[in-house]
Amino acid sequence: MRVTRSAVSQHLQVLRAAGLVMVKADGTRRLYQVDRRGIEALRRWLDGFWDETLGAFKEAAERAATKVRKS
Amino acid sequence: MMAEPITSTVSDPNSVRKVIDVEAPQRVAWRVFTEQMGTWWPLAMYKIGKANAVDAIIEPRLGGRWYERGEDGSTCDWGRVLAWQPHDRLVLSWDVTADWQYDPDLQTEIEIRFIPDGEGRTRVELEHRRLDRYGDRRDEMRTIFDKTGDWGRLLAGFAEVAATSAKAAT
Repeated sequence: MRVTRSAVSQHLQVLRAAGLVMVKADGTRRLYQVDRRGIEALRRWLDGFWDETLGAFKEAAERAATKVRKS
Repeated sequence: MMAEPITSTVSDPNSVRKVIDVEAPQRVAWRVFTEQMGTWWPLAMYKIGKANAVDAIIEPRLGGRWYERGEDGSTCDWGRVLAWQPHDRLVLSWDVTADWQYDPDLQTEIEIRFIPDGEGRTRVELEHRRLDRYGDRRDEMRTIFDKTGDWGRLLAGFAEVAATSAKAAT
């Protein structure tokens, strides 16, 4: 990547502050991994709980209705 | 592309209303909602247990449990059945806090009505109410439940939240 180590480190710190990644110290190294809780909160934030849920329900009910009609 | 449910224009700060038209008879819509919830509920996103959730279950009676089942067999309650009127009306309590933990005392309410709308169609009306039970986190939770898919606005909003939490953490 054409980006300095310190720039990467700064970007990761922002992601950590936003709760999207977690960091673990390993000697002098910093190991980053995705924080699933943060990602899930982000998904909820972006998707709209009831729109997402009712949209999925509508698809399932319509699939079931099609099956009933065919049988 | 999923059709967007219609959001009512009535603005009650303690309630979220959604209406969706389903191309399925009332009985089928009721059955899919109450007996086959695990087949359509977005379990990857909307679940509270530590384990990956594999099913969402409503016990079909007044007072029945509403819960998720994890792949390890564990269960996590979401709420209770407050009204059970096949195939017309269902009221559930949603006892999941703003931190996505079960709390039987929370008692927000979800009412779902299944209204026949001509042959083979059902209008499904959902109201999630008593959001005042979230206290000072009501508006935050109302946004999560109510929001529609306007990505530009949402991303701007997310950027703001991320920036605020970034600031708070430093």
